[in-house]
Parts: sequence; structure tokens; C-alpha cells
Amino acid sequence: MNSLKIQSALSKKVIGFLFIFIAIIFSSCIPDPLEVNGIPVVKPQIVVSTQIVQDESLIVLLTKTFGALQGSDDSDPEELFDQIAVDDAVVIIEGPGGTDSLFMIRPGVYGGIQIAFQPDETYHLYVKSETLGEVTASTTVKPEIQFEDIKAELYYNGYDDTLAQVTYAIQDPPGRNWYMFNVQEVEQEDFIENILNPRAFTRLLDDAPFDGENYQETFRVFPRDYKAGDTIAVSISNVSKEYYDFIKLRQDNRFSFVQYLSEPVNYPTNVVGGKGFFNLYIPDIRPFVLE
Amino acid sequence: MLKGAIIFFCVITAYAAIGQTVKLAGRVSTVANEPLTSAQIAVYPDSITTLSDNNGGFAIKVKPGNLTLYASFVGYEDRTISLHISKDTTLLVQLNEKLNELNAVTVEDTRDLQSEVFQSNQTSTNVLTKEDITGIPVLGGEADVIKTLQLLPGTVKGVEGSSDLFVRGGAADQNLVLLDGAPIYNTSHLFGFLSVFNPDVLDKVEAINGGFPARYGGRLSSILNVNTINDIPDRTYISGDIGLIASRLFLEQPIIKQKASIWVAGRRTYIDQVVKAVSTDELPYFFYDINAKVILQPNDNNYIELSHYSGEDILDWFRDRNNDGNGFLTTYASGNDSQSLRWQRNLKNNWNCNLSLLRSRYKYHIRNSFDENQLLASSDIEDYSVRLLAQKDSLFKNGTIRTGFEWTRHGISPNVINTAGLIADLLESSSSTGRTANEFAAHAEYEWSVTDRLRLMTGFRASAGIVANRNYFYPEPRVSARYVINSDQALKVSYSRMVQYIHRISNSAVTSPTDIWYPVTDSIKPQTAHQVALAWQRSLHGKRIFFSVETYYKLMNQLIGYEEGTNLFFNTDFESKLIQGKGKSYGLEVLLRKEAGKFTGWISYTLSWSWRNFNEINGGAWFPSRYDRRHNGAVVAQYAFNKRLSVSMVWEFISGARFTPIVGQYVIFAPTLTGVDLIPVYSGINQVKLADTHRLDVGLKFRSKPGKRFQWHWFAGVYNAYNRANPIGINIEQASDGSLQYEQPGLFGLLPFISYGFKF
Repeated sequence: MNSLKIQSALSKKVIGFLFIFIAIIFSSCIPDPLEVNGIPVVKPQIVVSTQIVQDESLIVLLTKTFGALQGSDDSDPEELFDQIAVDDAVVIIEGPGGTDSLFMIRPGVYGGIQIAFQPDETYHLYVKSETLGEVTASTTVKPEIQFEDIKAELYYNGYDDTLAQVTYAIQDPPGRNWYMFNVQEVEQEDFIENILNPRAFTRLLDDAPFDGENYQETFRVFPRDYKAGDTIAVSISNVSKEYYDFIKLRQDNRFSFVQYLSEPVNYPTNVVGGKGFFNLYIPDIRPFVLE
Repeated sequence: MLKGAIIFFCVITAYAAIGQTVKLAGRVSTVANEPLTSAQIAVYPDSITTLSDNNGGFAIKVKPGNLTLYASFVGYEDRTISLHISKDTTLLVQLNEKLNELNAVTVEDTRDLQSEVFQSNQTSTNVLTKEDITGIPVLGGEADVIKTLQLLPGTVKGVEGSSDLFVRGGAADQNLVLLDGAPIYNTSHLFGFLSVFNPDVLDKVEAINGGFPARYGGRLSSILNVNTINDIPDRTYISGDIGLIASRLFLEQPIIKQKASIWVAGRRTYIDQVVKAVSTDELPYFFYDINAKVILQPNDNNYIELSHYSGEDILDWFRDRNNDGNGFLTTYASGNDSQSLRWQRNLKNNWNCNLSLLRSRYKYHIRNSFDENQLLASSDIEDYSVRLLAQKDSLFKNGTIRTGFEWTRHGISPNVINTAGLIADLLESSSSTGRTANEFAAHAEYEWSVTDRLRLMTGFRASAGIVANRNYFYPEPRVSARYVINSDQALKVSYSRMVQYIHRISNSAVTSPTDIWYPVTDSIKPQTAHQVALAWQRSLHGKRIFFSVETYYKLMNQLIGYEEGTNLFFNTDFESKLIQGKGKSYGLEVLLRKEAGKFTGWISYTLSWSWRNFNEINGGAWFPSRYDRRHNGAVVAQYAFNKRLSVSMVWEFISGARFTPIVGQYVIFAPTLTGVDLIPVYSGINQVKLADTHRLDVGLKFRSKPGKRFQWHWFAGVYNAYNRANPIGINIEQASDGSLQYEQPGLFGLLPFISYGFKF
């Protein structure tokens, strides 16, 4: 009986040794990756990005496209921005109220104040750079949407996760609208550490099922963990269909492994001759301290 | 006027000369009067060639006069008979066995399949036997039909080590894979790296890449016919193979002498059991295959076989670190099962009929659960088919006619996603509508000798795809011709149109077991293709050397593509993302193959181009397809030092696949307005070529002494002997100095293998 046990133990050891031996051989022979040659060089183009702040001020971020190896999430934002900022541009915005020339706040950042954007009116942006040429873009201002009612609170799911839960109500204006919700932690260090690809929660909503009606729902901010005392900002924006589709595409391709599992995409733009988005939406932002 | 009269006179004279023929029939057998199937018959001076049928019989039309008949069969001495013939004549041709020659021949199969290809009208056809497949070193030492096919002309592989086939510029789903006639929807195990075909049960594998006979349809690019053993053995045989990845066992048992038999074969990985035996950890993955066949041959006129296959990949992992019952559960199961019942009956006047009843199913099921969170995903396709094929044998007539019909019902549950808990916030529950599609086809083809040198085959297939709210009907003409230059050289040409009514919804870069099959709908039209092929072939019968040079051009319409940025990962709304476009491919294929002697193997080379065009992507411009690989060559060689020891090698070179890397980026305000997002800029679709792939595999096989009842062999070697990275894509990685750089990672480096096989 004992000899059988010893034999069994020995055979297990032999099998185990063989298994480990094979595993070592397999793992030790993973070949070194090969170098890559012949990658096309991306053509520098003007990139437009805009933001309206509450006091009828418009910020236009003007940068240029850059190589895939020039920066990543981990790059120094200031250093990167210095490389790509467009500082030789004339920026003009034209709308039903007339034409405004924007001034350069700092290289790559142009601003205009007291521009009263009218809902459902179309505005045109003209950018002329001596080194990068001209681009134009047009967009229609969507009516502003505001929360009728909103609350944000901690939600404990019964296991190990504490989430933020947002309950809100809106009065949807008649006609097709596309809404974008954002939830962002409001901490000074978060802003600084997350300038490039900030971690945030974005939710998209198409009003087709409730056009013109009062709509309310609750959503949970996934997959972040929150604690009592955290401050968050919840915003809603009525965005253009083009920008809605753009964000949806970004969400579909948000995971890095998707590069091998999805079709490559060159993201849509409404900038003629360049890239980026000329947006004129006004967000309704509500801060909350979670309890 | 005079010129016209001369032409008319010449045509009439030629026609009259052709018309004055007599029939030379006969039978080729051993001296013991055993019929020799597929013996070569050549008649000179007119260089008419044919093969003997299953009973050793042959019949040809010849001009009266002095003739020389040359008969040959592998392992037998050639025989030359001179005769004067003035009327219909019948001969008995007996061949003497070469007693010593076969001792050095390692190829045990006496069928000269390559010669059958040469003698037929068929272009674009490759054949493999079990010996071809099991004799060469492959990944993990596991003999693999698909990986062997990838070494032949016209077929390009996908990701290194995968079992995908891309034939003549087509997509991976454009190959109809038939196992004993039943379609197999997922041809791979181990997440794509090993094919589902157990090499123990193989009889013959035929890959038709063009010049399709009218009886085949349903896919654009190729028909892969995998036939399992269909002989009734004289006694019980048991064989097996123990390898690093999996082990196999095969049992063959006669039931009624020379009338009925059964065989069963199984294959399973056992790495899960090894890990369980030697450690407290688990590797809860395995795959298995079960093949079985019952063969009945009650008399010479009836043959019935019932074939079964089932196989699954199973991952069943439960981890409960706290032992509180709230662990993490992941289960994954995917698999095929198929059954086919075939009845072949010989009727009067050389008619024979084949009736097949078929069932095939592929399904996958995924379950992930952790606490309250749960993700369930499943998909299913199940086919029922009836096929009837009738053929009137050509041997004693001038032509052969084949006709038949087929019906297939596809029942498809494309994609069901159920989520609960937090996962539901990320991925909502959804499902695609279940669909039923019916495919019908009626076909007929006639093959006849127009002259002594020219043989024509004209065929027509009428197919229909019936789905909800829409019926599709397509004519599919087929034509091929063979012109005999002399006894060992022929020119062939073919044209065929193919239609495909079911598609695999799969990312254009890699396929996975979770890809789903989806039929045509009222908005998704069938894919179609036109293909022409021109071949020059030379076959040196005695030496069993085959040489072929072939060129082809293929136009494809309504190809399936996807909108930019489409993510098919657990996507139930894929139909709205589908787009349809055009494709074209063309190329040159060369094959030199030697099948007898101490040194056997082949050299293949393909020069090819493959293009795609979709209005919605790449600005509507043509772009190369993902697996547009310009040069594709392989050297496959086996050398038998003696009866016990042989060495084999495979060297493969393929131009790099195409890839769409990130070449640039830009910044825009993030939606939260508290930072900026980096947006990638991709190159043009498939604009960049990955590094070329080349790899050397070597193997050494040592066998037991021949003649003993218990036969065994050891097969050892290495895959990717010089450890070359064969890239699958382009990544951006951080170098040691912190800078960013492009890299092309490979999947498999040098991998040794060893296996032990036995038979008694």
C-alpha cells in the first residue's frame, strides 16, 4: 500500500516536473517584437474645439494634429500643448447678430466675450493660419436644457461597491434632441492629474421615445467608487446630432483592446479642412456633495 | 468565297475524322484479378488518357488503326500493349506487382489523388490525404487539416497559428466546410488555434478554390470537403496518439464481414487534468471531439453511412477566495455537432444516386457572474438539409450527366445578451431577432468529350434564398474545359458564379468563436462572385510528380463590411452597422508536388492581390483587404531514410498582412470640459503592411519495425525553429528611455513538440 502511495506521489512529481519544464520552454521562447517601418506621417491639420461658458463667452482651442508617438495619457500636458498650439491664427465667428473676431488668450486658446448665441440659429467659424491654412465650420445652437429636478446620492450595492446615483427630471422640448450627461469628480488634484483623457462618466440619451414629454430616470455612475464627502458635478447638454454620434463612437471604442476587435475609425468632424468639433451647447452644471 | 469554302471543307473533314471512332474498353486488374482503381490508361498516338473506375474498368473512343496502350498503377509494373483496332474492342490488362519498390516508399496510400485531379476537368483543386496531414510538423505537434491546407497555393492564413482560411482574396466566412457532407460552422478549437478535424478519421480532404462543379454552392471562395474513413475493415483496429496538446483514440470494428462496420474516435485536451493532479490551482479549460460512423454495404449496389461529429470547447471556472459562496464564475462553451446519413445506390443503365440527410448545429454560451452582476451571452445556428445527386456514369458513353437538388433550412438565434447588476449599466440586455432562412438549389451539369483532346463540362445551378419578406433567386452558370496537350500535359479553363446566402458577422481582423452567422435579409443582399481560372498542368504518372501553374481573376459583389468604428463585441445591433461593397482579387499559383519515393512533399507559391471597395469607408476608394498578402510560399518535405526513420520540414514565407495603425492624434475638449481628450488618427484602411512572416518547422519520426501487429511511432520536433516573431498587429509601447515606439508583437515563438502514436 505504501509503495503504491510512493509510486503515485512520484508519478505526480514526474508529471509536475514535466509540466513545469514544458511551461518554461514555452514561455522562454516568446520572440522579441519586430521593429516597424513605413508608418505614414500624419499631415498637420488645424484642430478646432470649442466651449461656451455661462457668461456668453466662447473659448476656441486651436491646435494641430500630431504624431502617434508624440504624446500619450502620461505626457506632460503643458509640454504637449506647447508643441501643438496654433498661435498664428485669425479666428472669426459669424452669426445672425454680426461678426466677432476672437482674441488670443494664450497660444492655442482664443476667446470672445459677450456673444449672445441664439437658439436654433446657425453660426460660422473661420480660422486662418499662416502656417496651416484655413478651416471653416458651422453649427446650429441647440436650445438649452436644464434639470427640472435632480439629486445625487451614494448608492451601496450590498457588496463592496459604493456608487454615485443620480435621479433627475427634464422637460424635453418638442423636436429631436440629443442629450449628453457628464459626471465629474470636482477635486483640484483631479483636474491637474487628469487633463489628458480625464476619467469621467458620460451618458448619452436620445429623446425619440419621449419627445416633448417630461422625462425622469435614475442612473448609476459606473464603475467609480465614491465615499461620503466627495464632490461631483453633474451636467446635461443638448448637443447636435453630429456631436452625439461622435461621442457614441468614442464610447464604443473606449477600451484599448478594441483596436483588435473593432473596425478602425477616423472620427467624424464638422470642421471643413481640419479636424475637431465646433460646438455651441450650453451645459447645465449642478454640483453635489455626496452623502 | 474560296476562303470560306476551304474553311468549310476543313471543318467537315475534321468532323468526319472525329466521327470515325470505335470504343476501346477494358479492365485493369492485378494478376490475381483484383480490380485496380484509378489506374492510368494512355493511348497513343492520340494521347488519350483516362483512369480506371472502382471496378478497374475503362472505356474510351479511339480512331481505328495501330495503337499503343500504356497502363500504370503505383506499386505495379507499367504495361505497354500494341494493338490494331478496327472495331469496338475489350481488353483485360493485368499488372504485376513491383515487389521491392514499395519498401522504400513511405506513402502508404496507393491512390494517386493528384493524378485524379490532373485527369479531371477540375481547376483550382487541392487534395490531401491523412498521410500528408500527419506527416508534417505543425503547432504543438497536433496534425491539422486547415494548417496543412494553408501551405497549398491559393490559401492564405490569418493571424499566425489560427485556423482561418482566406481563399483567393475571399473572406474567412466564404468557405463551405463540409464534414461528410454536413456543414461545420466553427472549424476551430483553442480559441482558433487548432482545427476541429481529428486526423485519425480522415480519408481524403479536397479543397476546391475555383471552377466549382454545379453541385457545389453556398459560399463564394471555396468548398472544403473533409471525408472520413469509409472502408469496411477486415478486423478490429485500435490506434491512438498522445501529444502535448491533446490525445486521441480510434477504434474500428467490423460488424458483418465485408458488409458492415463501425468506428469511433475521440480526442481531448488533458492539460486541465494535469494541472489538477500536480497543484492546487486549476486550469479549467478543455476541448474534445467525438467522431463516429456506421457503414453498411449490403451488396455492390447499395452503400449507406451514418456519420456523427460533436465537439466542444469548455471553460468552467469558479473562484471563491472567501469561501462564502460569492465567488466569481466564468463559463464558456461553444461547439458543433453534426450528423449525416448518406445512401448511395447504383441503378440500371449506369445511373447512381446519392441521397443525404444532414443536420448541423453550432452554438456558444457565455456566463459571467460575480455577486449580483451577471452577463449571459448566447448564439445558435441549426441547419437541416436534404441533398439528392444523380449521376449517369460516363464510362461506356461519351458523356456524364450529374443532376440534383438540395434544400437547407437555417434556424438562427443570432445574439442574446442578458445582463444584471452593475454590468447592466455598462452593457444593456438586448437580443437580435431570431431568423429562419431557407436555401434551395437545383443543378445539372453535363461533361463530354468534344474531341479526343477536348473535354467540356457545362453546368447550371439555380439557387434561391427565402427569408422573411424577401426571396432571392440567382442563376449560377458553371463551365470548364480540359485540353490534352499530350499524355502528361493539359490546359484547363473554368468559369463559375457563386452566391452566398449566409454570412459570418466577424471583425475584419480576427475571427472568434463568438462570431455569429446571419442570413440575408430584406436589406442585406446575398454576396456573389464571378471567377475565371486558367491552368496548365503536367503529371508525370510513374514518378507521381505533379506540376501546376494557374492564374485566376475573381470579382465579388455585395461583400459584407462594417461601418468605421463598428464594435461587434457583444453587439446585438450589428445589422445596422453592416455595409455592402465590392471586391476583386487576382493572382498566379504554382504547385510542384512529388508523392512517391523516399523524398516527398511539395513547393507552393502564390502571387496574389486582393482589393475591397465600400462607399462608406476609406472615402469610397479601393483598399487592400486585410489578408492581401502578395507572396505566399511554402516548402514541405519529408525524407524517409529507411522504413523506420524519416525527417520532415516545413518552411513558409508569407508577405505581411495589412493593418490600419494609429498614425497620429489630436486633442479636443473632453465632454466634461475639465480636460482634453486624445483622439486617434488612423492610417488609410489597411494601408500599412506588417512585417513578412517566415517560419521553419522540423520534425523527426521514428517508427516500430514494420510487419509487427503492434505498430508505434514517436514524432518530435520544433515549431518556429528559429524563433521568429510573426506579427499580428502594430502596438505603441513605451521604450526603456520613456519614449514611445511602434512594435509588432508575435504570438508563437519556438515551440517543441513530441507525440507517441500506436496502432494494432
